[in-house]
Amino acid sequence: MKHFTYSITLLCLLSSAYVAAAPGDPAPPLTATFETLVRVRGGVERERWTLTRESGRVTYRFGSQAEQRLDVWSRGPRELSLLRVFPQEKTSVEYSEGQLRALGSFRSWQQLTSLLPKAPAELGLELAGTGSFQNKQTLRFEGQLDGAQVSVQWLEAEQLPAKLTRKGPGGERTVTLQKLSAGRAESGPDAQNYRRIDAADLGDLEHDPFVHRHSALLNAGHAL
Amino acid sequence: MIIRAFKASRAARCTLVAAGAAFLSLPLAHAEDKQAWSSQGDQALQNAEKTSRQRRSAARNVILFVGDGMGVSTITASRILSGQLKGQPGEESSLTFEAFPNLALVKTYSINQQTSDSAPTMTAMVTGVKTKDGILSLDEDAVRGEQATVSGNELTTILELAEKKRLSTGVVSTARITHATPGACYAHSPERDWEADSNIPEAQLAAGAKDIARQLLEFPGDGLEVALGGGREYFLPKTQPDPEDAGSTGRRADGRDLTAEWQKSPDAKYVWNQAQFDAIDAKSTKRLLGLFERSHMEYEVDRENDTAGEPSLSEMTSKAIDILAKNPRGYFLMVEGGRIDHAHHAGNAHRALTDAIAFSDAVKTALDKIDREQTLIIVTADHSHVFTIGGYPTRGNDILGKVVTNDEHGNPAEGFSLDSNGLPYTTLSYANGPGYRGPNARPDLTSVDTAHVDFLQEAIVPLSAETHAGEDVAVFATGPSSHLIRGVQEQTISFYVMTHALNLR
Repeated sequence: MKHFTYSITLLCLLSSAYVAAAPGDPAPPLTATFETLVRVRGGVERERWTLTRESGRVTYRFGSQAEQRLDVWSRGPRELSLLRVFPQEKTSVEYSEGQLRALGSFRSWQQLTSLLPKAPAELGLELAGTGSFQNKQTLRFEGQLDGAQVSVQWLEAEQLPAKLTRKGPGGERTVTLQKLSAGRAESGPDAQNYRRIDAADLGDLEHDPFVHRHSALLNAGHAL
Repeated sequence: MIIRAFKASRAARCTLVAAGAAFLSLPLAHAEDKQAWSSQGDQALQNAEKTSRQRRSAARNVILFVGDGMGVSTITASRILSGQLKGQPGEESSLTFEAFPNLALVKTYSINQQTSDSAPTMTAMVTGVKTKDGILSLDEDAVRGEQATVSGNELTTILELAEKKRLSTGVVSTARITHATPGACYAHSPERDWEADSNIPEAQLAAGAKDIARQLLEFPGDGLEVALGGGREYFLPKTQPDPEDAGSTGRRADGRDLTAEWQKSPDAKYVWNQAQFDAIDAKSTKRLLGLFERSHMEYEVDRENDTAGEPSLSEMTSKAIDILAKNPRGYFLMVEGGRIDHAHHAGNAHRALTDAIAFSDAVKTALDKIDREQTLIIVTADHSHVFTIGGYPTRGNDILGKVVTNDEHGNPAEGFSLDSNGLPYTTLSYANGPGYRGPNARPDLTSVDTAHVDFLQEAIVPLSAETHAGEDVAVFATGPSSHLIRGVQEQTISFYVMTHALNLR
């Protein structure tokens, strides 16, 4: 449940509903490790996760080695897809673009690669200063979005936030970049021989033990 | 096409309701005064009397349309949306099959479940025998997932009976052609998920289990003449790249390319995209296999974005009839609107309803092509969903919108109806599923576009997938022997009426 919450959180952190896919792919290939910190109702939860950006593919890795989950987003000529991989159980769940949209979970390519649906200035955030991360200059943007106070330290060349904070009535969420490198992360599991489930079939797998165990992780997200 | 019409007509309806305009300002399909209702009642009576006198002849052809998960609430909501897409209030509209003269309700329980999945319900319709959940065309003695319980428990399907009488046979679906509904037509399997050999446990393979895709190829008689739908990867070996989706391959571990094997048969053709499908000349094609997606085909609203292009359910139905109707002995065709069910499981009413309208369009396509004196058409669902039309919305209120009720004078009220916490709510909702918004209070939908194609209607119980429902589903029938569809029946009734009409038993 925790991994699910985080993954949705990061994708929805600044999402405006139903954004269209970005036509270009300006974000350079890289691997970035983030930490998400959630403060809500007096409690604090943390999780480290990794984003690997390649041409036409973005991979998010969540959890420990012992209980890892990968979300592999791929962009074809016309369609986006998500493969949610559970290496320990040698099982993956595949979401077509139509299924992602049906679940209200479609994300633009820009949002998947940059964590933001648009560049900060295009979101209406004001440039409030500069800073640095690993000897790289960051631009600090601030403002209100969807009723929440939002602050972004933005790495312009990498098209990625070094820090992203949202404070709203529901609590405070901060995503902080921990490590950045130009290369790929370690190679992912070879999911080719895993059991592969079409997400559209989940409704017919009510007796399946895997589906039972991971039911909270099998929605790609919520509409609101 | 549906989505474009939807956007245009919805803008007009929203403007009217927001302005508090009376529904009668919308163009009605027919007058709604006292005289008009009286005339309509007389006409309905005459139609019923005419139906009761209709010729009880045998049928040469039977087409069974199955809207997967198309319960009565889905039919009603689709009917309303269909009318609203034409700029009408919608409630008075009708889907194509609602004009059929004969109707029954059927009980959808299976041998071991109150609320069933598609495997036993379709088995009931095509074999006349109820079985257990997850099992395809085997009787109640079969055990799910146990190959050893297959032998001796096979049920004969109407397609197998039709093959014996040398009729042509076909299956069409927007789901995988190996999925439960089409699969029950031609396969006998103790597990609906055994769609390719790689889905079958080693021990069951060793016990002789045959996957469902293979059973499609090995269907008895001269085989299926038409099989159109999704599920390409179940027919291709793991080593073979998919022609449409780069980086993907088939699923088969036995190395067989079933699409190539299909084409070894004389006059058999295989297609996997719209252009190839369009190029098929039905007159010169005896057998056609079309597999337009690795898995399920697109939802109707997403179809135009498909990478390689794929035909609509109407187009597939039309081509199937053109091929099958060449047999002077007749044919049996099953057509499934397979993705109504999937959209409901996702909690997405927009896609469920637009797929149901596309399903209705496919029925119209069939009606326009066939000889109605010789063809029995049955339209039904395998099961329902926990999908509800609620509140007291005014006439013509956007079926996908928030409830606007009437004031004390019966005119549309100003603003939305509010729940006990002062928040608006939608007309459509689910009893369970991904649309659950808790654990906090209900969201404020005031400024949310609830008619957006990607909106999830709210659900009460949080489940990763919305579930089927257990109430009866409707059966609509027209053509020879259709008068036998009446009353409240077991779901097996369709099999007995269809086989009676074709003199197959």
